[in-house]
Amino acid sequence: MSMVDAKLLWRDWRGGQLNLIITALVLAVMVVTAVSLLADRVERGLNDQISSFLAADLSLQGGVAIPNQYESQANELGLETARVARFRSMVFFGDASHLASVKAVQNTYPLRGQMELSGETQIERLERVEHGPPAGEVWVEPRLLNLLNIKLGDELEVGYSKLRVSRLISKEPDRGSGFSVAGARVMMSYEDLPGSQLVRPGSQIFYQLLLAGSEPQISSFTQWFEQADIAANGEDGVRHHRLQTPDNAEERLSEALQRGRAFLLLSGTIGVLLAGLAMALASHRYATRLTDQVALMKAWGQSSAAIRRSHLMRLLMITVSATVVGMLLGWAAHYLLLQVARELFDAILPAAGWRPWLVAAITGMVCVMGFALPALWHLPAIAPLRVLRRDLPDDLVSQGKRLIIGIAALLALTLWYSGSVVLALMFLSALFALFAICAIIALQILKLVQQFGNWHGSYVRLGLANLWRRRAQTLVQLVGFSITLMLLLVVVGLRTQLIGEWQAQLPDDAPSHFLFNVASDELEPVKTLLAEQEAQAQHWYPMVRGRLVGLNGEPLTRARLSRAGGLSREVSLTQAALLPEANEIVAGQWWDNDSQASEEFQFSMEIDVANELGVGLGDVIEFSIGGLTFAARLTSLRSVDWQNMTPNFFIIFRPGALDKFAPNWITSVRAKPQQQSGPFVQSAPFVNQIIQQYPTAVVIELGAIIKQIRDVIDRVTQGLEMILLLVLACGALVLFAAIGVSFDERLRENAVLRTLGSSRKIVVGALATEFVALGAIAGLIASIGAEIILYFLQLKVFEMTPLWHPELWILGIVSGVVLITTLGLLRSREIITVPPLQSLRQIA
Amino acid sequence: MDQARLTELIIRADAVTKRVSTPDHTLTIVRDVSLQVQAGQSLAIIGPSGAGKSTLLGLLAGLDTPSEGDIWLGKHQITAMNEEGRAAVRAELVGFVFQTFQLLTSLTALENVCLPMELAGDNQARQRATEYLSKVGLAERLGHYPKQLSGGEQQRVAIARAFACRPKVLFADEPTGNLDQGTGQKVSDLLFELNHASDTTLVLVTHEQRLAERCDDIIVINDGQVESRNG
Ligand SMILES: Nc1ncnc2c1ncn2[C@@H]1O[C@H](COP(=O)(O)OP(=O)(O)O)[C@@H](O)[C@H]1O
Ligand SMILES: [Mg+2]
Repeated sequence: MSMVDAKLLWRDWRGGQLNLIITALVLAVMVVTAVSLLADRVERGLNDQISSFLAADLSLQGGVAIPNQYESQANELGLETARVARFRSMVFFGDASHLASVKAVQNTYPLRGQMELSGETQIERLERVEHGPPAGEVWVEPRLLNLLNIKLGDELEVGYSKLRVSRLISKEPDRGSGFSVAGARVMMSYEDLPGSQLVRPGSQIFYQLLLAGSEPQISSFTQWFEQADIAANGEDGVRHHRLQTPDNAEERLSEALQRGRAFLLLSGTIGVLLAGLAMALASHRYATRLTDQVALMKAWGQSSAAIRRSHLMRLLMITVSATVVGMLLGWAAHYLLLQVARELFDAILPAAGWRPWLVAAITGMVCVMGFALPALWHLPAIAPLRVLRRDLPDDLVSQGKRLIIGIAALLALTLWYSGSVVLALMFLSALFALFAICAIIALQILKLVQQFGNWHGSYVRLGLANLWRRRAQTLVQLVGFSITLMLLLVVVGLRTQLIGEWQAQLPDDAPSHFLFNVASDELEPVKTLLAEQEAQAQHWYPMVRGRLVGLNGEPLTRARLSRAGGLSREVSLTQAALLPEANEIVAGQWWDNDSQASEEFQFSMEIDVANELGVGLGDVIEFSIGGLTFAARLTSLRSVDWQNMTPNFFIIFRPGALDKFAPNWITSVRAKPQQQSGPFVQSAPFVNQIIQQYPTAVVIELGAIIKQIRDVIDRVTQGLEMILLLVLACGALVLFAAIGVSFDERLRENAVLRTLGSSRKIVVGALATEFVALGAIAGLIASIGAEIILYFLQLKVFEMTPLWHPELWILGIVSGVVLITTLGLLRSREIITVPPLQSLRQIA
Repeated sequence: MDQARLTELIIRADAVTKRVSTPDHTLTIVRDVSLQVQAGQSLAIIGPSGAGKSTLLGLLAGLDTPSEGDIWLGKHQITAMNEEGRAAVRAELVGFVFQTFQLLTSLTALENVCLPMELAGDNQARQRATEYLSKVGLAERLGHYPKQLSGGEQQRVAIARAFACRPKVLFADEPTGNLDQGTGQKVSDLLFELNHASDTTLVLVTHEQRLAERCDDIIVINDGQVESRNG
């Protein structure tokens, strides 16, 4: 690199000619760095989770306590074992309570991987151990300290026992650092489980027997399990347990992972595409400006090779410095994003590897080669004679070729980001299709707008005519801007509208609390307590857990059950005399309670799952509850309004069927609204009384659930919005660059207009009209697109009644107008302020 | 000046013809022109607009190649060279002044003058540039950008830029063409003054008789052909 190159570069930079190219490059690299750092770290977090997901080599698990038979067989084979039980339960400290994710483990846990523990302060060194908490102690997730306002050493009430909080969990081998929306972890010793009395009939508990050993030991246990299973569940021949290997744990994660990755890929690609577009336009302009310089240098005797070398050197300097700056900013952006999303992660995510940095560096290189270089390629070949004859044509790389090179660069990047040819092609074609549709709509609107200008006075007509005259540029600006705005509107819509609508669709008399896990012997005292506190309990439903095992005498296969997602695992079953309020019979008949109960049991099923399962009225289904099986006939199909916020069931039996099983009870409660005191909403008095007197009962405040959901959505959408704002900045660059393309032309036109006596007002008015119209059209297209996308999201993903979003239209159009007009006028201020004479001279 | 210097030829053109082909026919812009210029002398090429003066200048300076005929610049037969070779000869011998000044707008006056010297690897560039800018009377304007200078001032910067490289031959294409009469007069005074002081050979294209008359030789071109010579 010679000093002259550096000087030339510095002078171009000083003159502001490189601003756009560099900014575009910095932004492209920044978006890609931020997005891939984020993806990499989250993926690493999840991978950590996957590789030691089970904290064992194999897990035997199910909703029913694991018979000793399994454990003795494992011991016989020489396998290490650890029992684990997971469930949700209220934990208390004084008046404060939290619905925690409790995990009771034997001391041998974890069999694979390590627990990472810490003391009160995060700064303290992490301690890694390979055992669970001793009896009498609990280890908790740090956030529980804040939630309950406790410190290490305090005694936590878990069920009927008091356990001392001794350590903080920063990582569990089978939880890692994934997303968590569940309650805070409380890990207790398996030995304390009986004393807590948390395990009772009907409790929803997930049992695991963790196993670890050599490969042959594991496979002989697996073989034994396949054959011995039936013997173990002898009575009904139904599997209550299954084996989980680390592999199928991965399957469950991959879908969420892929969705996240697709979004990041989408924003990264759009960002690069827009930045690339801006860079290509800006480079074109830069090349025009360099033409005279190159011709002069050649006249002075510089060889083409020397000039080529000098240009490549300068581009390299630009690429390297912009890439480095982009990476730094990208790192900062990803850091901010993580701060926003921090609460979603259980622990600090593992550091990123080198790949995101490589991705960013290559993105910078490819952007320059694909978007900037083609526009500059012809420069060294400029004829020296051009100093005398400025009308000599430049041997530009044709637009078609440049387009192909640009698309190839984009394709190469997408291919590399996604690692899949099919995905990259699909992705880009979808993106280009979206662009094309937007362009077509934009063109139609432009046509209309231009006609509208025809019957308007002076500057409005002038401005609109300008839009139409330079429609190629106009389209580029419109499409680039409206697509990013559209995505942003979708996210904003998701955040504000969906939650709001969901809340609005709640009935006014919606319950304030759910109360469940109430044992039969607690039912009467709880009812009395509620009545004393003026809390109205709705209907109480007895609930037992069971599964569907047979249909009309044939066994129900797991494949068939998994078609009806709601029935594939253990289901909550109830019995009721009256049709619950949010239910409607659509086929068959609800039982007549007065009539003599027939010999056989009857039940009613929710229509959607019935359809998914492929059963109809009159079918006989066999159920298995706690090892006992019985058959019942399907006598009615119901539709259920799931948004009704009362306990709803897929399957309801005619009273009698469940009598021999010990149920626990569930109801919804309507309590008087509570005063907000300080930062916390005061719990209704009955809540504290119930949870203190009946520690195994669970009370859920609806407000708390809504708040939790809203928190999660808020954080996720804030993260998305931040990424999309970066992409929008790329869109703004396209606007800038496109104005730059016609800048000299505009300068000349406006100078001519001014010398011809047009007032400055007209010039400004025409420009303003142009940008306002541009902004309004971009906003309109963005709103249309966002509304369509939201319509389908509401319908398909969120399964709610689609609503219109007039606020989004206003937001879209207003922000389009404000953004584009501000940026546009900012970029063209020279056109307005330079006196006409000077601008004429400048162009000469 | 001594006899030996006078006989040293620095430019020689033998029967030079330049044809260009347009889509429908071939145009002959320069037809069978022969000329010689001795080192340190000045030659004016005059003729009406469109006569082919600039084309001839470009050929003599090695910016373009003739369709027929031979051209020597210094000791080099540039018609036998490729563009790389001609570029090397230009770098060694040639300087330019243009009708449209051709200053780079993003560079200050000083940087404009420095640039060709910097490209040639001259580490005295700044000093020399300052010196020549003072010679053209712009010592106070070093840091000004072209758009802050008048047309005459811009051309003076261009003249400083040309002479600062100490070319053997200076090619000037209508240097006063874009200036009003008074300014043009001053600029041409400066041009001749520096030319004499630095012993440069000057080839000057102009359509102004008065300017041409200050040169040692004049050839008149019309329709690509030499119409007359005097000197
Ligand atoms: N490469 C070219 N292609 C077509 N016409 C040319 C080309 N070069 C010069 N001409 C034409 O030749 C004529 C002479 O041009 P030029 O040398 O610029 O004249 P002058 O400098 O005397 O005004 C003009 O009519 C010009 O248009
Ligand atoms: Mg000419």
